[in-house]
Amino acid sequence: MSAANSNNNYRLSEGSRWAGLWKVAAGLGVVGLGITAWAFLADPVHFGYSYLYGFFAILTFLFGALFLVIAEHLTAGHWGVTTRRLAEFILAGAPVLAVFGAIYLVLALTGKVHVYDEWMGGHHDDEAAHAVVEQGLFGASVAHASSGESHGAHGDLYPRGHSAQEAELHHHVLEHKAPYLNKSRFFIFGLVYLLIWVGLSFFYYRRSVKQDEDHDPSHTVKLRAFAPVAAILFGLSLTFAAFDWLMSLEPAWYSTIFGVVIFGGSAAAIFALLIVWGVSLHRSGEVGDAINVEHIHDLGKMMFGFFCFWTYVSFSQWMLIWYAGIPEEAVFFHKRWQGGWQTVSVMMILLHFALPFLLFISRIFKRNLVWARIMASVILFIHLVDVYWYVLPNGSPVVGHGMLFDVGALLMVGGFFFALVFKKMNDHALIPVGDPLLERSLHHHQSY
Amino acid sequence: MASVNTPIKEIGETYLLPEGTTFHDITETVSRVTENPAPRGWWMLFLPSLALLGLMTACITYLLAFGIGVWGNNAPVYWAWDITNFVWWIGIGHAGTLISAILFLFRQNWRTSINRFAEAMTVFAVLCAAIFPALHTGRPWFDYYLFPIPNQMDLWPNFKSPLMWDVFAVNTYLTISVIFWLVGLIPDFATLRDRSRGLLRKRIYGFLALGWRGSHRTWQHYERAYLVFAAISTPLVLSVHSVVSFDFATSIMPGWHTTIFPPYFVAGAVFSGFALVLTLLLIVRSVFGFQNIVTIKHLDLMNKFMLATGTMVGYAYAMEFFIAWYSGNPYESWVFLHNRLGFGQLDSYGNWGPLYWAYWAMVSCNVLAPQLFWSKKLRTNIPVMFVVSIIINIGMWFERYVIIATSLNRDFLPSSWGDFTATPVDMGLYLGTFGLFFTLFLLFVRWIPMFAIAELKGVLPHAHPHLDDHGHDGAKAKGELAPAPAE
Repeated sequence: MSAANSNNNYRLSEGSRWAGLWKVAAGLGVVGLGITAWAFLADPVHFGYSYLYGFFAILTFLFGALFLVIAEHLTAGHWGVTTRRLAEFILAGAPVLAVFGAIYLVLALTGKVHVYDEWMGGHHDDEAAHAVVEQGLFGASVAHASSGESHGAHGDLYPRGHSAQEAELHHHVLEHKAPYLNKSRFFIFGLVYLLIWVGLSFFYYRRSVKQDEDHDPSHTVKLRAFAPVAAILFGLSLTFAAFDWLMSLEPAWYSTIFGVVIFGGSAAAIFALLIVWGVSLHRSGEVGDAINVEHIHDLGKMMFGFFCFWTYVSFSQWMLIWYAGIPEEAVFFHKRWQGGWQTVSVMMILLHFALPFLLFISRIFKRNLVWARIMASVILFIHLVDVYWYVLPNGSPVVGHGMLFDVGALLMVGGFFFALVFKKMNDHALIPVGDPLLERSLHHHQSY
Repeated sequence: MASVNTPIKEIGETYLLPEGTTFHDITETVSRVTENPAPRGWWMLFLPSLALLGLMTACITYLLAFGIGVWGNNAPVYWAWDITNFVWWIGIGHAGTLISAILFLFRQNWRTSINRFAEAMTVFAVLCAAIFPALHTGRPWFDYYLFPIPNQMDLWPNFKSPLMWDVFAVNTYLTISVIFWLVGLIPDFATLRDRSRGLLRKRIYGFLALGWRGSHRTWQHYERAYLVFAAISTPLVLSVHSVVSFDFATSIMPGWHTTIFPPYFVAGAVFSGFALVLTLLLIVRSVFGFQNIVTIKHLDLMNKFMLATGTMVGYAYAMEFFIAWYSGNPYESWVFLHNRLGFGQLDSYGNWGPLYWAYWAMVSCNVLAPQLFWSKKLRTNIPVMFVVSIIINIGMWFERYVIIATSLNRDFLPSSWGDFTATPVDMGLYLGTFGLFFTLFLLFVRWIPMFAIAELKGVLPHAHPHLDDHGHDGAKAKGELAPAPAE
């Protein structure tokens, strides 16, 4: 136990290297900002993909943190109280994501983001939308989204059709979707999502740090009482954000499970992040024994459970689409099985499931802090690749094209986001010292 | 001075079981049922169950004699009540596995009051479920072809067929569920053995207790085995109903082919399973007077679970609908909007889809009814929860029927449209499986401890090794020394 914590206030000690960490993150953010600005000028089409990648990849950490905090209040769990504060620090970073998200929405509204050109670029008349439903059973054919190699250039509304007929069908489907896939709805819904996330984040973060001061158990009661509503708001906003921002990159494609897949990846990622962070804090002696091997073991189990869950839902999505072989569904995986993306796809199977499954299944592995941190780092890495795999195949038909810009955008959003998150570590205790369940969490130990 | 595990009143925590409950109380309350003569109520339930079991036997015999044409299944509705009932019964079993495996891994110690009960239901429900596909093969005496048995004709099952995967998934599920259930019973069988008066009774329970002596070493082995089985059963909760959903979702039938089916079926299965566990638990609780073991707190938590899983099912319905429209696939939207929801255009005969009422029955039962449980008052009201649990069971049967029938009865070609009408054999067989289920269930209630005695003792406050700790310095003990399995 470090000297700083002898009085059990769980504040960062004087001269702790954690205290200045936010400056490093901010520095990286500035570098990323430079690269992204360069991308904006040099390759305005790819810029949109890079920005979306950087933003969404970091957003998944906020998703994960919201899930963890809400779930803990929903289930009245006590084992994770000490590590919950780390997730609450993530929630405190929500304003940064709100700013980057709002910028993205404005860029999309003003035509500076070209990733949705297929449906944003043209004039989609809202009234013409119901054409397919109205024509009904006998008239319409199933649309095909062919696997064109190039992404949409300006002015070329439906560049994917190989033949005039396919282009016509594609056009037809997009016309049908216009009531949903249009600029104004995209913008308004986007703002609503951001408001929901910032609102939920602040509610859970603020009350928890307030409880540090007043030790009032009524905060816990209120946070728990709101948790079911929060869970529903969170689930719906995550799902539709995933539809709006990722699924619509391939506007003809659809998958009902898509929101659940994004959720599964986000949940695995937050537990991985908490393991890396928690072990590092434990090692640096800043939290004494408040985060110890028992907590890391449980976080490890949750991470294990959720990367398996991610595998389960991802497999379901892939297997059902592969088995049915319907063109407008299969286009998604087709695109991820060419131009070098095969390697990334296989890497996902190996690193997001097979290897961690074998190398993290044992209790011995989970209770070895060194090993736990290594495996969690692997999951964090592959999670960032996972989001990359969702966003980039449309922007880079050949894998690796424009990767510098993608990494730059990730650094930009991640840098500024974690700068705020780490800054908050200076302002509050590192564990929720006012939580009524704290004692139970401090003495948490498990027989299995 | 209280230990860290003392309930914190300010945030509404209470003891799980009424304060003052002793180890002996639990042993007495649970064992008594198997030792006393059966109450009249038990016979009043058992005899009708036997009668229904007879009905099932009669229906099966009739079916074997005349073929599955005695069901209403016909073109284009080739799958009807049989597969509906199969999916429904398989779903019922899921609560047991979830409670015994997943809630165990999540250290939800309130599960101890319901796990034994739910595990038994899992086993019986899977047996009921298996009857339907086994008969639907048409010539069930060739059912062994379903297993990959090497034979002189080099005839193998089609490994690419989800129906084949079902055979593996359901058999694995049944095997693991039975073993898990029996392993959990060992210490309780030993308790019954030790209390036995008659020799025969002592021998039978002694045999089932596998020589249990209750030493620390046996407890240690037991707990380790229990943990391993919990870990093995956990993926089974997901796999079985996922594979069942593949039966539908791998096809290109509008209304069947959708990627959310696997988790949606699993959530629905847990939902319906909890509902039936609750229905039966409420009856048993009042007949045998188990109010001190299954408290209002347990019932409250179960209702919360049903609210949560019901909402997940509602989410899946919403996704199906949204994507059916969003996909722009006219067949998909037609099945959902016209044939299920009853909106949009009429068909060429000027009718709505004939089963739209079934769809609305399903939504009302599965999504709307559990919303009552947002209110704590209703969540803890026994008549309300009893009614809602039955409504959910009906709703979940309709869900499977809607999925199967409304996709099949309106085919791609209007010339091949046709509706399903259930025959008396369809109905008799479905009712008859209730006979099988309740006969087994009532025998279980009568002869096997229906609550996990040892596990219940483990969650009493005085089972905790740090109950009397006044400071917390010694709290980081290496292991539990509690005389019962870990909570």
